[in-house]
Amino acid sequence: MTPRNLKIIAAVLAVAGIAGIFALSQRGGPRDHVLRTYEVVERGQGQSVTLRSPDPVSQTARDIKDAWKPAQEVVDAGGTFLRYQDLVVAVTPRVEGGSTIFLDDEQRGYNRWFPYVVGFWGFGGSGGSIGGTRGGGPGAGK
Amino acid sequence: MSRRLAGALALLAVLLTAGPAAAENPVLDAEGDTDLATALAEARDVQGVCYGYLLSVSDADTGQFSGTYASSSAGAGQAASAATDCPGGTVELTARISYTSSFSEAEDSAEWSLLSTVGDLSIVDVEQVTGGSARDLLDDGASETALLNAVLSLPGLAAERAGLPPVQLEENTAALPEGARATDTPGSDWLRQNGALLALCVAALVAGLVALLASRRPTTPTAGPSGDHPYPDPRSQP
Repeated sequence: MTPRNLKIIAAVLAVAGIAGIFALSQRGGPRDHVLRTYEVVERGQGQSVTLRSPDPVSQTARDIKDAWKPAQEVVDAGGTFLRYQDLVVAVTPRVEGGSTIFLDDEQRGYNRWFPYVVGFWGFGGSGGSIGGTRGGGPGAGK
Repeated sequence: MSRRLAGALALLAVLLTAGPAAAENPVLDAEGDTDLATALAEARDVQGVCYGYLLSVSDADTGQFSGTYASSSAGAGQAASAATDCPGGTVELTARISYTSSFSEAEDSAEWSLLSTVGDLSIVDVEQVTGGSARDLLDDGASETALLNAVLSLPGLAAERAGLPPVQLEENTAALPEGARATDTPGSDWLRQNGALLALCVAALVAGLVALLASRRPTTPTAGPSGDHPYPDPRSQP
């Protein structure tokens, strides 16, 4: 291969690498994605936001997961909880169709959905439980 | 027969006839089964459908986990398929785990399926919603979450597929118990999502740098170690 061809390949690879890194850096985060994609219904305290999706819970949760992979996921009879870095996304069904999306920071989300997520990504404390809590089993196996 | 041999045979006989002390569910403990049954009972009250799981474990290693375990809207230890008060139908996740002997080269195995009289639910739907698979049941760190997610996804799937009323979650408004807090804060979302692509971009940059360095390497032949020119000097030719 001639030096000229090598220089062309070097330039193409360098441009592709730099362009790729730049494009990735513009992606924002899961919170930005949800806010851009769904209709905001209400802005609560702090960073809490309630949004509406026309799709059912399973489809909405899948779309969010496809866009931004969660660190942890808990599925409950009444909804799906996705955990990110200082962000909890809860997707619950609406009786009239579609789903409701709740965005909270980690502490507020943990408080709000405590009975459902405590056994999975939190410590329940020592003062007894609130309602039925799930998770925290043996995980024993061979 | 020597006394030592007789003693060894007696010990072997005792070991062979002794069963496991008590079967132990390797995935969910009793408290987990009870909590699950409570959640599924709430779903049954809303939808009229009985939900649950039935897990069969074959433990050829220690025998400690061999047994059949169940939890459903009828209660912990009760199979949904045996429940009677199910006007809307029954959906039961059936799973099987086989632990092989420590001396066996065969690997542990797990499989699961869905028995449903509601809509056209299948185990594929469950796996799509939860992202889990039967293999997760063999992972000590993931088995509990995999089973709970799979079983608890059933009422939501039934609501979406069969038009049943959805189960509504109740937000917690009470103060948390003292010391309650989220643990194991996740790492960077950006790196989790983009790590592979970032590695690819960096690899492209490094490859470009290598290609650039290679292009600067002299390609014209140089004199050999003896100082002889590789090509004959045309002026020295007769």
